[in-house]
Amino acid sequence: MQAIGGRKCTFVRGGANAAVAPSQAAVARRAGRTNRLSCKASLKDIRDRIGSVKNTQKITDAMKLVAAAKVRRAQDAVISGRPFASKLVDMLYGVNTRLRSESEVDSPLLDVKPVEKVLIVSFTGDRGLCGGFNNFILKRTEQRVAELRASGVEAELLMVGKKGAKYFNRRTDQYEVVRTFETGQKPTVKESQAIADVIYSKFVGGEVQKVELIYTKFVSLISSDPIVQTLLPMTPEGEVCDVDGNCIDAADDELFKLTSSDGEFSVERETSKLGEEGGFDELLIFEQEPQQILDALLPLYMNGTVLRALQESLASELAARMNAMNSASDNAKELKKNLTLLYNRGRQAKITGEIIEIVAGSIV
Amino acid sequence: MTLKVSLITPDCVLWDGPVEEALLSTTTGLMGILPNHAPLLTALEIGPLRLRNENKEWLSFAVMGGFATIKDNALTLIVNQAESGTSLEKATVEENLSKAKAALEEASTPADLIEAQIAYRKAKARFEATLPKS
Repeated sequence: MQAIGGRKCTFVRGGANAAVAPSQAAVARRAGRTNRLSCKASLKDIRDRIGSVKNTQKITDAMKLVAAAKVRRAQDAVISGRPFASKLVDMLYGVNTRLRSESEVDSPLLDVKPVEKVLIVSFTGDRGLCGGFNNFILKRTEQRVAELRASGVEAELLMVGKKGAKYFNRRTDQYEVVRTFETGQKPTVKESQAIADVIYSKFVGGEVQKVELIYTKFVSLISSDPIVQTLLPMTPEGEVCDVDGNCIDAADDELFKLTSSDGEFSVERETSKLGEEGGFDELLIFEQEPQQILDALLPLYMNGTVLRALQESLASELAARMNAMNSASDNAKELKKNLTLLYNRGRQAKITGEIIEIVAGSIV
Repeated sequence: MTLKVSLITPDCVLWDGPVEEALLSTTTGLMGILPNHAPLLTALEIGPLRLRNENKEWLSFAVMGGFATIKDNALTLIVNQAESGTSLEKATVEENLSKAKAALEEASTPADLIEAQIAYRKAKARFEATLPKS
């Protein structure tokens, strides 16, 4: 283990100061390499260190198990939410094609206006200790804001999750944070509704002309991607999105390749699937005016999308925490092994030294 | 001949199975659906949903608004939120209904009024879901 050289030297410095500056650590490591003796910690120090590493390992092990149990629950939530999302997309697609063939669609959520300001809704976790999870999202958000600014578009942020809220609230001079929410332990329709209400009023009120979601897509337990998805407006902009009534701005819509109904299909397959299932036949009776149906369908779709983003984000967070804690436990185990070796070596050396002293004394 | 009904909420699939008859509360009034219905799309109101299963028993659900489509003998309900009538306790539901009614009468500002109205309609839907089909 490479870190051992550096770590060992920190014992001489007092042991407690784990956060050695990189340059210091490098110096210490060099010193350790050229003259090992200068880096000797007392046996008691090593013993204490082993004890503390052992305790840390117990904690990280427990956290891993907790995260594993929770990730299962979160995964179930994602899976049980899928029928709703896919049916809704089917329905929306059908209504949309019908409307397009019949008349001009006019719903506030479909309004494509020249974009001056974008609302970015970014989903982080409430807690840390989950590897790069929060950081990836924060970096992606910053990057997206920079991209928008470069093209002369303003951006404001709506943060979901304590970590993201904290990060951007410290940087209010650079970023405009409009609202913050907590992710919570179990996102339900209620939470997503609250977020969707804010988005809805912002967009329909004309404060922003586009709404984007940045969240971590749950791919599997070991892999998840931070993605940018356009939520509003819901109409395809020009030639970018041709078939799907719910998807927009495919150029930078990374989710598009995964579709909004299921994580597993590619664009082509999904759209053709929609064409088969979602296409209403000509005889379909609209009990209400199609316009009226669309007006009520779109908020439902929006809430569903926000809920899914919340669920996926939570599932990814827990999976990331599970992985982080797993490698932390592995590291602790490795560290413990090396320290024990060091300790035994030191102890043996001490005993040998004492024997030599006794033997030497008896000879004289 | 039966109708395949799926009641889908964002959280879960609450009911998925065959029924003989379904009664929906649509935005334009109560609607009964029997097998072999013509393809239809309708918006659902906050209100009760009743299903008659193969044993001729009526099941009730409180549905908080959404949509229903009928196609090829399959009725799909996509709703914001739904609760099964059997999971609701009659006493609490009645209490909530009277509370919601009182709040509705007290509401003064337009925003309060809208909120109270929605709460009242939800409470009423739950109350009706606990009642047996008349």
